[in-house]
This record gives sequence, structure tokens and C-alpha cells, in this order.
Amino acid sequence: MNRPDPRLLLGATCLAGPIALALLSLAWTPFAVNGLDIAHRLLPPDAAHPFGTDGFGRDLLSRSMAGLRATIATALAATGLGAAIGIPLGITIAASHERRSAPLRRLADLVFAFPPVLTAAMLAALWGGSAAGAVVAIGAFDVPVFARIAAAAALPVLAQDFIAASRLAGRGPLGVLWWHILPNIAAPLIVQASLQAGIAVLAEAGLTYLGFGLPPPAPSLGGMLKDYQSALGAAPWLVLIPGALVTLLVLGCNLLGDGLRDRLAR
Amino acid sequence: MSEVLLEARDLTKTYGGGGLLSRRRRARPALDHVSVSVSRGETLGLVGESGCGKSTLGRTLLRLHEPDSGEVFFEGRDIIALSAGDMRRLRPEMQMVFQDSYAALNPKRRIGALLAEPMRVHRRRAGAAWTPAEIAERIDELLDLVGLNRTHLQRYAHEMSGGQRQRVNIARALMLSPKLIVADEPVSALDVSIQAQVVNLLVDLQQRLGLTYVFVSHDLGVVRQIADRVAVMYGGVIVELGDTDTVLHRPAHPYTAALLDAVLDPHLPFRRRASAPPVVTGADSDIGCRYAGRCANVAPLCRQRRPELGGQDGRMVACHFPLA
Repeated sequence: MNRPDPRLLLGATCLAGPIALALLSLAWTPFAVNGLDIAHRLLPPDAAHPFGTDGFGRDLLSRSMAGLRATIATALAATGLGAAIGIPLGITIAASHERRSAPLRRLADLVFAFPPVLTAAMLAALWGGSAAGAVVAIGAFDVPVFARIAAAAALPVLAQDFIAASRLAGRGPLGVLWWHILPNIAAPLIVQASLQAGIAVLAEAGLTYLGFGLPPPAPSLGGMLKDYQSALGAAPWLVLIPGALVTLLVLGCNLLGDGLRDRLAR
Repeated sequence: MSEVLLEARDLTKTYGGGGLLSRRRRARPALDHVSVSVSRGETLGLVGESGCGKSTLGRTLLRLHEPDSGEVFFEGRDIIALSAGDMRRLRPEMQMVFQDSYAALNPKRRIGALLAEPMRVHRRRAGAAWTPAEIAERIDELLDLVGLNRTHLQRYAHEMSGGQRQRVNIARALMLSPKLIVADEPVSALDVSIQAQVVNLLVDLQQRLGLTYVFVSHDLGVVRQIADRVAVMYGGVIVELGDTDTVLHRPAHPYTAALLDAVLDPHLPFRRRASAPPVVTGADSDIGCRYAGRCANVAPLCRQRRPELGGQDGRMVACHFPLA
């Protein structure tokens, strides 16, 4: 009776490969991530180096695996950070009087007005390039997104009598939030989280492309695109492969989000 | 029997009070200096048309809504002045049964978890040492009392009928052995045949457990069955208050009389009128009697001076020219 949504399947397929590679990199990579081997520089993909090698003879598969790991970890951490702050904030805004929450709403607008790249550039200037800076910059951008979705979804739930009944049972505000509100607004938040994860992947790739991530030689997908773009003519795989991996991740997140939206909407 | 359990003094509540930038400048109060008391073990019926403030009064008595001014004394303590923590500790004493039995149950939680919630919350908060087995035992006891069984515990609210859901709500309200139950139109959303069952259940529970009820309803027939005293509300004030028999058989306020004329109940006196008074919305007076705009017996005095609630012998009425 439940024919799986093709977008869910396709999205999961898109994500499965990159995630498996990233997880594998925790334990094993075919070559050392930063291992130089000048004798085998700029090799096209073959059996020994499935993704080829770069100008220093570094194995692109190994570097891609480590880069994927950084990208996925950053995207998940940033989305988690945004959700962890944004969802309680949104529910608080929905629960409090409009006049009292007005400053919070304006603050959310203000955060929206700053593109994450700008925020990341500011943070990088303050702290130097770091993975934490990227997480905070992207996560900060996610906070108002989750706050708005949570507030919009929580507003009709808060008006329901079972919230009043729970207050009568003696539950405090946090208990009501966790036990009653969250399960009833989970669907749109899960959908939004998967869409935001896609945006975060793109943002992380963009930030590392601009050099606002971990400093070299730490591998990152965006960093590889920047480093190898001059070799596009001579060794196109060096650019196409990291680019394809980013595309695959973003596409997977978006397909998953779209599929979930229809699956969870009732 | 005549000991006062709950007393409201001078409750005032206005919704959507116009802020500086609000478009609605002058909001009519939902409660306008309402005072009423409920004795231990009795049932006070609150009746009136939609928007008269009866539900607001019911919820304010439990401090689900904060009044703008006024006090609510529960066993002599002003609960409006209590801190949030003290109020939560007092919650077990006063519970509510809601009109919409579906909206009163979280759709994502099983009935068993919802029934256990009051005891689980208070076990953690008040240090009452209920074990899960004791909670399960209490749930069994209440399921028995309200006529449900254990098979219902695994269900979700949408898998039950309206009558069953309302029984769950009643059981849940009783979990912590409250003294007071505010029932806000508890049977209005049910089929007529189920209405009688639930009303009988409420009456039965009151006798067995010595409960005090505030019973909000627009249905005078139901109120007649369950209420010892009746407060008739109109436009945020109580216009008539007294023993159920007195008020419903010899109404003194023209509005009570008009309400009774609108009821088809063989047990209540039916007086056919030549013509019903016109319903003039928005014509409620600000200076004189609120009902003057709709009253069949309106006199010049009614538009000049607001009548106060007064009287004797188990009946108070707010009218310059009472009918009885």
C-alpha cells in the first residue's frame, strides 16, 4: 500500500555514496590524505587512483573522502545548531505575547539580512579560518529559519486544549514544549532540516572555496575546486569530481526534503 | 455543604486590548467585575449565549487565563497571587473537562500516556513517590469508574468515539483526585444519546467523590439536570444568579426569560411570545443596562443607569424591573 516516493529513494541513493565514503574515511583511506607523490602527479582516474591524482601526486579519492567528511560534519553540526537554538526560540515567540516577542522577531530579520558568507568572513577575521567558524556562521543563518517554521507550526498547536490540559496537569513550559508541542510540529521541522542541510553543504563548499574554512593542506571540497580550477583544461577530473560530490549531496538533501514533505504532510 | 470552596471577586478580563498601533481601539470586556462563589459539593451552572464570557469565567477561575484585575480564592487562598511554582503545586486540586474532547488530547500520544501524565508530572515535581505500578493501578481504577477498559490505553485519540474521548478526559481530570472540576460545555459536542450518558456519569462521579462542579453550558436543559445553582451571564456580567429551580421556573431577568423561550424542554415552562425581541448586535449600551438594546421591557432608566446584581432568598438579579 505504501509505494515509496521515488524522490525519497533517489535522494537516499544520492546521499548514501558520499556518506559511506565519509564514514569510511574515519577508519581508512586508500592513501594518506596529504601524502605527496610527485612521481605520480596529475594521473587521470585508473585502478590504483579511482579519482586520479593532483599536481602534488596526492590521491584525489582520499582527499575527497576527507573533504566529504568535513563537509557533512559541518553541514550536520550547523543544521543541528540552528535547530537547537531556533526551534525553542520559535516556540517561545509563538507562546509569548506579540508585543513582548517583537524584538526577537526583528532580531531574526536582522540575522536574515546578513548573508552567511559575510558572517563567516567576519568570524574568520576574528578567529582565523576554522571549522567551528563555518559551523557558527551557517548555523547562525539557520536559527531564524527554524525559529520561523517552529513559530508558525506551534501557533495553532498552542491554542489547542491539550496544551491547557497539560498546564492543568502541572507541567511546566519546558515539559509542554518537549512532550506536547515538539511531536506535533516535527513534520515541517524534519523537512526543513533536510533542506537546510543541503543549503549548509553548499554554504560550506562556498566558504571553503573562498578560503574561510580550515587552512590548507586540510582537504575540503570547496578548497579543491579553488585549488584545481586552474588545471581544468589539463586535468578536468580534479574539478569535476569534487563538484559532482557537492552536487550529489545537495541534490540528495533536496530530494529527500521534497519526498519527506509529501510523506509527512497529512 | 455550604462551606465556600471557590470565590471570585471582581474579576475583569478584556481580550485584545488595543495597543498603541492596534486597529481595534476599544475592546468590550469579556468579564466585567464578576463576583461569584461556589460551595463545596455543589454544582454551579454558568449559562448564556456565545461570547457572553462564561467560558472565559470558567478558565479564569482555574487561572488558565490571567484576569486583568480581581481575585479568585480557592479554599481561602488567592490563586491569582500565587507564583507559577505554587500554582503548579495547587493544580491537582482543580481540573477541567473541555468541550472539544479531541482537541483536549494530544493526537501524537497514546491514551495511556495521556492518562498517566498528571501523576508522572507530579511525581517528579512534588516528590510524591508513585511507582509506575501505582500509576497503572490508578489508571485501572479510573477506567473502571468512567466505563472504559484497558484496551483503550494503546489507542490514539482519533481512534476513539467522541463519547469515549470525553470519558478519557474526565478520567484524566480525576487522576489527581481534584476537589473542583470546571466543565466547559462538556457534552455540547456529543450526540444527544451520548450527552445523557456523560451527564449521568458526571452526576454519579460527583456523588461518589464529593466533587464540586462549575458547569459551563448554553444548554438550559442539561444545566437543569445537573446544576444546584445557575448564573446567567450576558455581555461579561452575571445578570441573574440563584437556585436552579427558582431561576429556570420563575426567571426574574428578561434575558433569562428570553433564553428559556428559546428552549424546547418539556420540563421547563414554555411561554409563546407574540414576537421575539429583535437581536440588535453591537447595540449593547455602555452607560445603562447592557441588555437594554435587546430588552422587550426597556424603559428610559435602563439606558441611564446600570443595574447592580442584588436580591435575596437564593436569587440575585441585575435588572431595574425584574419579572419576578
